[in-house]
Amino acid sequence: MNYLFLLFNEIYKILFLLIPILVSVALIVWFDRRVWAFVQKRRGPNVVGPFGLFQTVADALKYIFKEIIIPASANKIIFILAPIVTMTLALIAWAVIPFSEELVLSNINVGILYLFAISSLGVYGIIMGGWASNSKYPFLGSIRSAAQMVSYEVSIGIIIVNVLLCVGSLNLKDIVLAQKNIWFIIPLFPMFVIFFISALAETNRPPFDLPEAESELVAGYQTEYSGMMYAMFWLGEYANILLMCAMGSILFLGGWLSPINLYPFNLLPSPFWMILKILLLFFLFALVKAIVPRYRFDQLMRLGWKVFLPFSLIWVILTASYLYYFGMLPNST
Amino acid sequence: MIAHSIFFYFFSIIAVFSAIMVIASQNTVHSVFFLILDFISISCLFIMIGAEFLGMIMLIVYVGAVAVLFLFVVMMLNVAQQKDEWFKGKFFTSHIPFGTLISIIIFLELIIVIGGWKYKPNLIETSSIQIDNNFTNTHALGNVIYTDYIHLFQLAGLILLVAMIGAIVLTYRKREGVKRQSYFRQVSREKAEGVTLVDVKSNKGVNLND
Amino acid sequence: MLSEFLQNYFSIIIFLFIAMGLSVGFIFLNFLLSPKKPDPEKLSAFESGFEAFGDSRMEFDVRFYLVAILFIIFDLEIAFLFPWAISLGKIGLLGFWSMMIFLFILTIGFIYEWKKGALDWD
Repeated sequence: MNYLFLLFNEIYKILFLLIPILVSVALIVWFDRRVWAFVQKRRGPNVVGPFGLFQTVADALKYIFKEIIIPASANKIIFILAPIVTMTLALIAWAVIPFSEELVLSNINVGILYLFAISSLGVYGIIMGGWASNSKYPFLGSIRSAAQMVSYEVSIGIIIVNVLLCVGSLNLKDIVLAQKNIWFIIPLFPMFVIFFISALAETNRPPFDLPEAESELVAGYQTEYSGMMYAMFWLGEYANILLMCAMGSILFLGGWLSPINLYPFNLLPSPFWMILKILLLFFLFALVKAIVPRYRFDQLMRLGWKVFLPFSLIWVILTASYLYYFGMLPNST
Repeated sequence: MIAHSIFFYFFSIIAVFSAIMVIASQNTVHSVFFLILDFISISCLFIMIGAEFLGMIMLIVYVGAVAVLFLFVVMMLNVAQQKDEWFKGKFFTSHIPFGTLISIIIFLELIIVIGGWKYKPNLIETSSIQIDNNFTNTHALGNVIYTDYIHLFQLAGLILLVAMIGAIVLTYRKREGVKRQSYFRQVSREKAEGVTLVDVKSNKGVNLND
Repeated sequence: MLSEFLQNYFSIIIFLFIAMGLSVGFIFLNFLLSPKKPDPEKLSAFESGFEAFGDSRMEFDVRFYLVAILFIIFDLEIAFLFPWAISLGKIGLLGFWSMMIFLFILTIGFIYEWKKGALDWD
């Protein structure tokens, strides 16, 4: 009886997290398209609902009624599994994101490692989709995307190490609370810039959207997909982008903490600040999509391996030496 | 404890089943996907005994990196052609004695390890890591790897160096006749080297090759 | 009762099942509601309107394989950096320099691959 109660309690909490995520993914797709349109002096989606807010819901409904086409030469099980893997991984990463000091589904000790692990698994959805399609362009797109995600994962890992040096714990709550005095964006500003660019590459966003570069690869790994399975790829993609924004705001922008701990600001609830920071970072993501031209693949690999990797590694050594020399390391005896 | 054992048996059955499927599956790419499933369920088992850090590193390194390499290798082989040869031809039978020998050796080693641990628990001393509920096991690991086990840590570094150099020596081929973009030259080009203004007389044309 | 430590992971596992069920449910709904009118042209692999040349299971550049190997090595390096970063305050100067030597050894390898041109993509 006790277990059943526990189970229902968990399911209740999960739905309380899952439904807002799905709704916000739908809204964020609309927001992305609107920002993109405004930069180009267009109106963007503005017909369905007030300001076109229900555009994504309408799109999703349309996808549900579309025919599912599975190519005759495809490996059917893996072909269907690929979008499921992408979307499941993009959703379960949210389990550890804290929205305030109490509002977190699962407060594990190795939260940041969990996020890093789940984002490194994200590559499988794409490889599976590309390989199972048994068609040229999806295969090339998925190989490219695997190489790209893997390269930028290294620099994201080293940037996380930089933040951990200042925190002394792998727990996401501790990472946020360590920023009570100063947000890490100020001492680690270059790392924030590299994190932002690596996050763009990790989520295959423009200017690094080479896996689905339409001028070369039709639509990359998504070429053979149709209907809801296609929609699930981009739902997963946007959930991943939001996750990267959440990770950026936890690591560098102080998570749920208000910018100034003064009277009018600290009255607002903590989740408000967290959501505001995620939105702000997403706005930057949307702007970058609209104003930056696409990279070439050799430039992308050069940037990841020859610029970001050595630079962030040197920054780790500098941070560690600085903190050690001035005795500012956490948990020191 | 019931929930604990349900989850333990759930993950271990998945682990054993997928380990069997790795060798039983006819398609090599399917084998790699079963291997990934195996790694994931083993990392869940690690987490269940409290080794969170090891479980996560298992996910990051084995699933996120090693299995990607395996997939690349398997996808690079021409799977469709070789699939049948492996299971039918002579190639398959000639490897049976070696395979049996290696598995017998591994089995004996496992018996020695488990027997030693079961019947002589004081054979291996694990005294340097104290179990303390105040710290997480990542801190516990961090406190000993870099100081008490410094020689093993540096050895790991050397092994990684050898792996890095070995990978490059084995796989890297320099290509001939590749035109590279030189960012420095491209950006530092002046107007004078790039553009010449020519006064063109009418009906005469310009000779560009001077 | 589960310990607090495992309870946190329990909610992740339940979340995993719910997320998987949701994704399968989406595809299932699509299967139920969509029209099914397959024809050979629709089901053939995409190749801009004509028959595909060659096999799509082609061999690709060995360089992707090299990137994957280098990634494993740097991933392991990061795996070593994580516990070091959080317990640097405890392990003192010896811990600091032991990591510096480790990084120095790997930097030799990194410089070798840079000079050899393994990081160039052309």
